[in-house]
Amino acid sequence: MKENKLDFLRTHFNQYAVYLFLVLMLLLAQLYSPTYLQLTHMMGVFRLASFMGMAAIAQTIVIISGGIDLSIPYTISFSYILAAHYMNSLDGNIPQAMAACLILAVIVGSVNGAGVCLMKIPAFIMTLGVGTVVRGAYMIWTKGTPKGYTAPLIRTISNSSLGPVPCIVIVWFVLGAIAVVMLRYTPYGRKIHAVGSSATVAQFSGINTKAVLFSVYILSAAIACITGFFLIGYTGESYLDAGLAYDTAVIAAVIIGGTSINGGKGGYLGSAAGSLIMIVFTDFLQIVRMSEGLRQVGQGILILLLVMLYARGRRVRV
Amino acid sequence: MKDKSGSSFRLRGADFSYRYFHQCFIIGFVIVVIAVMSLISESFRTAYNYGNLMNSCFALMLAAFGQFLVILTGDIDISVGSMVALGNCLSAYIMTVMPTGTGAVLAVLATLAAGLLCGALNGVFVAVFRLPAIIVTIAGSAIFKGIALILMPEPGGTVHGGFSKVLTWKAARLVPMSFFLMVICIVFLVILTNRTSFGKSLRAVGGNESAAFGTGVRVGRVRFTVYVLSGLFCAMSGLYLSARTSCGDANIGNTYTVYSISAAVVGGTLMTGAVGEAYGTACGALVIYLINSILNMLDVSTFYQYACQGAVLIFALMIGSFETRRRGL
Repeated sequence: MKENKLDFLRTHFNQYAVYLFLVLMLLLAQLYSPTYLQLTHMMGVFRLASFMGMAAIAQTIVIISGGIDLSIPYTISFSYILAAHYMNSLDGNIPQAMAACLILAVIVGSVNGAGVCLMKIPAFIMTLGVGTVVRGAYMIWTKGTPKGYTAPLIRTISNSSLGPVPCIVIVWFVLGAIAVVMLRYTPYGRKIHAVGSSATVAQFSGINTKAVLFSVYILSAAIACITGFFLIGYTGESYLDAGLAYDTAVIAAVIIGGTSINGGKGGYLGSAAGSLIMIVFTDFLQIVRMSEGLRQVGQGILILLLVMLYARGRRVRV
Repeated sequence: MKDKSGSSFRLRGADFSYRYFHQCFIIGFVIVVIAVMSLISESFRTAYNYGNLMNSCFALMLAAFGQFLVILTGDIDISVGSMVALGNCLSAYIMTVMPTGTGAVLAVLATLAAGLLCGALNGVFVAVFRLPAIIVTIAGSAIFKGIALILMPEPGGTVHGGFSKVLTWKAARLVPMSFFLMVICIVFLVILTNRTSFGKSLRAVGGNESAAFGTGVRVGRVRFTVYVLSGLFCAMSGLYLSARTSCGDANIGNTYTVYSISAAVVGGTLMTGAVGEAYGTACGALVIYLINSILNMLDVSTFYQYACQGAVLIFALMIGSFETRRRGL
């Protein structure tokens, strides 16, 4: 039994190590800026991290399946615009807005899935192409001036708090918990890991690789749409390219969180911490008033350091 | 058919189309598009426009060449845009601080050295420490963009007049310098990737890394070198942009990463590695640039640009996917 516990720790080490770093980072920030760990400030940071965390759910699932989804930021932007347009400040329009976002998710996810599974186009470039088309689509659709405003209910969810905890953090927590349970304890989640580990072996084991991969991209697009939906609640007014901040930062958060870029290994727990690390770091650098340039350099060095520690490739080339 | 070491077989008929279909297609496509545009639009037909087209596209072409080499080995370089921005800002900065001729020479040397260093940074982490290329180049992109922003927080600076004139010179007022430079680069790259043993090992690493390693190819060295070369090409691109825009702007490289990948893919480079030609990439860069340029000329709203770029990329990917299937990869 002792070996089992040690094995468990070893396989999931990456995901727990990142929490150590998060705590370390928070402590360092507190040392430098004594009010950093104040509850109000921390909850503000968590609120920002919720959106990145939700986008990270989508990206984690796709990366574990062996691919990558570069269309997530553009899907977030489009669903953001769609939600604002259809909600138009009325609570009653929320089902309409949800339906529109759902349709978007299915279309984008299907095109991604078709390219990656059926046409065997590498996920990186396929999702990049689809993302660019999505961006073009919402540019054309809004003619440059997006209209609409968030419904009060969504605005409340994204902005208010239940006691000390912001509602959106609760939403993030629930979605994250579902993601962790799904990936670790359901057959579907295990299939995703299997396909990411080795698609050939998964295929011969009887897993319908094509169906799994296809559904993963639709799932990713759906979660991206949910993120956009809540994002409009956070900011209220509609504007273009709202989701573009969530591309490389989210990938970095997922990799820092211990998920292997080649797929198969990893989980959402690490990505959640990874998102928090990225947001806390950016926030801290802003507090100490570092210039934009130094901030970027700092982010790059942070990513390199963390990845050096536990994302190295295998030594032997067989 | 004799196979002397270093030379390739003479391909005939079906073999030729098998190997070069995508490249022929894209060259034909570019010629057709330019011909059609020349017939339709009077403003397109002018000598000024062709020269301008070449000049504007050349910076992207250089960045695409760097990206092309990296993709050939099966990796990716997301820091291309940031390296271009760094090259631009560094050269503008040095030329602003030292407006003399020696300042210009120093700027050129320093920028090329910076490009080599940036590429080396990427290469060390990818090849030596064996980190995933995508995350290393994302981190690199943040670092290089940050340095560019530190050098030039706002767009500005001046560029040495002579330097600018040399690089934007036109032979007989017609053929721009960038055309000759493009030809030199393409010849260099074609020889590098097809005729040298380094090029063969490049394609071998892209095709099957373990097999290449087993055959004795110095895989780590190859992967390191392509990132250094990519850095060099991006630095050259930044230098060219300095000459052309006469200022330094840290945001100039924002679209270059995605466009360089698109240019390589549209030009027939497979993302899985080993397949691709330099002249294809050059045509790909032209196509990417032409899309924006033609849409502007036809007075189509700029909002259609992204959709067209994405559609062209996906179309090129579909051709590439048929190609992959045919080759049995």
